[in-house]
Amino acid sequence: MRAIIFVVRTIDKLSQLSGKILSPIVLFLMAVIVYDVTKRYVFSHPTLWAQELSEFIFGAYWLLGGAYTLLEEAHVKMDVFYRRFSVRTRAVINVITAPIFFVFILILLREGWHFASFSLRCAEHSNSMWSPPLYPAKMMIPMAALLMLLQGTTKFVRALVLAITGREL
Amino acid sequence: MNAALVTVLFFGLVLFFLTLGLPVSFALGGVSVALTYFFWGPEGLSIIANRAWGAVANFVVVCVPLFVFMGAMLERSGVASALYKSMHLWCGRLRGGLAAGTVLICMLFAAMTGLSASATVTMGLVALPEMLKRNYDKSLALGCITAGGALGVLIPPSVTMVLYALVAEQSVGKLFMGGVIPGVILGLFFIAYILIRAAFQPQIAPGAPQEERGTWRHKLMALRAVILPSLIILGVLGTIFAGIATPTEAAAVGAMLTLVSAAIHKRLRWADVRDACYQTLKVSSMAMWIYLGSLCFTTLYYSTGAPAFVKEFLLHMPGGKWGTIITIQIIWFLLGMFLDPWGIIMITAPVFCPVIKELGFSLIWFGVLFIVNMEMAYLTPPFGFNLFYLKGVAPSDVSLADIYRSVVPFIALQALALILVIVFPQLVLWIPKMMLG
Repeated sequence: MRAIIFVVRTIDKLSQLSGKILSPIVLFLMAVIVYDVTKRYVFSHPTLWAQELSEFIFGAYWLLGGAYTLLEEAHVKMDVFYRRFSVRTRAVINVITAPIFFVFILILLREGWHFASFSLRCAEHSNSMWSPPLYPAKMMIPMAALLMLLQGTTKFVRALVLAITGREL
Repeated sequence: MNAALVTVLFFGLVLFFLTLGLPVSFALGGVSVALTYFFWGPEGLSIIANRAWGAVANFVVVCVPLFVFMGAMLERSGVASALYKSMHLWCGRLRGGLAAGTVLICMLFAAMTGLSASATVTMGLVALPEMLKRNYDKSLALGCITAGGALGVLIPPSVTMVLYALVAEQSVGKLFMGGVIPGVILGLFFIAYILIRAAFQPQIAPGAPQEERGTWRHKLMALRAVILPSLIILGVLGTIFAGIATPTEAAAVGAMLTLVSAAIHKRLRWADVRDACYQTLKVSSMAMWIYLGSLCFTTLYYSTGAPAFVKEFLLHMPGGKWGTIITIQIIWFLLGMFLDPWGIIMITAPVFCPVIKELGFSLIWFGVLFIVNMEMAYLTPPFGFNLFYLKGVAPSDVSLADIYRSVVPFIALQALALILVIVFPQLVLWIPKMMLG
């Protein structure tokens, strides 16, 4: 039991940390695009990299941010009926619905890994003028699925313990 | 595989898991993946990573976090209270003036931000206590804020429109232009309703006493509050409409202008920026994961042959093609009582859009119809975002039941606007046509 509590708390902290690292990225994103806009409209000399770079930044941001959003219970849900139940009933329901979550995330992890590792094997580059390597960005898909899987698992364990024992972990 | 069965099975399962409180993104994604696996085996799933990548390699979606950040920062920038002070001096003496002015500020806010939360929360904090202090009728005071706040998604820019544009593969700029006239009409409806009621029942919205009425000098000085918002609106909407900047570029510039205005109001604090950053991460990540779920759904949906079935079903509504439009409005309205607008668009747009195209309607018009319909969704109990936003910031003697009661007349006005937009598509299509030919 102690080991479980330790693992659950560690994963929660990991998601917390990911949120802390990811959240200021929106400022960087803003700066990249404003820089590009200034170059384009003021100096008529647009950058070659800003658009593609900002796509990758935002992709990593929202993909990896999924786990933090899950930790914060900020994935929007239809809770008209759900929130009428007691905390323990909700935990039971969470355990029942969890397989749908896991199917989605596990498939995303597997397919994302195939997709990204294929890109890595053939050292795929974008066909733009800037031509950055694409595999680091593509690797964000399985990485995000992994973070999501970890965070989803701790939520599942918490719900399971609450459903069985009636006590919070 | 029988298309009817798959369609019913799919929607039945999604609704089932939604009712059980599973987040929209996972319900959509999970059910799609499970059904694809069940009917077509593992090969059918390899496209999912490709779809996720499609959501990344897309410059348009990059505007989402920027608009969200802009709204979150505006909430904390002090722009609202400056605007409110100015409005107080100009409209305060009028019966119903504070409520009508609140709607006006909501419209200005809507032209700066892309969410319904920003104006609802700020006006709930700034305008509501003032109106209650002045003995405004509680229902009127609450209703004008929830309804005015919802204009945020109709008057451009609008994150909801961006999400529709993604799913329906339409131009964000055109949708933004299409929302202008319906948004202004709806705002004017609210203002007219408030002023007319206040004229007949002066006790529900009394004018300000003599000593609160400012001098002309005060009034003109107070107009300075409008300068920064005007610059932001010009910088964001002006550049998009003039075709100078893409929505994403405009959003980045707008986000920066918001930081600048916060600095000018001496409200640029790191704690506020950090909170806005966290909020932005959560909201944009949530939106994009729903989008990812919806991409999985689209893949499944099109491989089943279900579109033909649904098309057949929707095309044979009584009343011909207008019957189809009205049926869709009713479906949206009912979903709006229980589900959030982003989820509704992600679930229904892939189904409805091909039908609408087949019927020869404009998908821009259809998108704005969706948004006008969702104006009601933000207000209809039991699940309406603005109800909860306002409850979150209202004084403790305001109950959720008070808020539920307050929205009724405003929902009626929104329904009226929806009918107008259905009957006169030109209200939507005129500006895009004029600007882009």
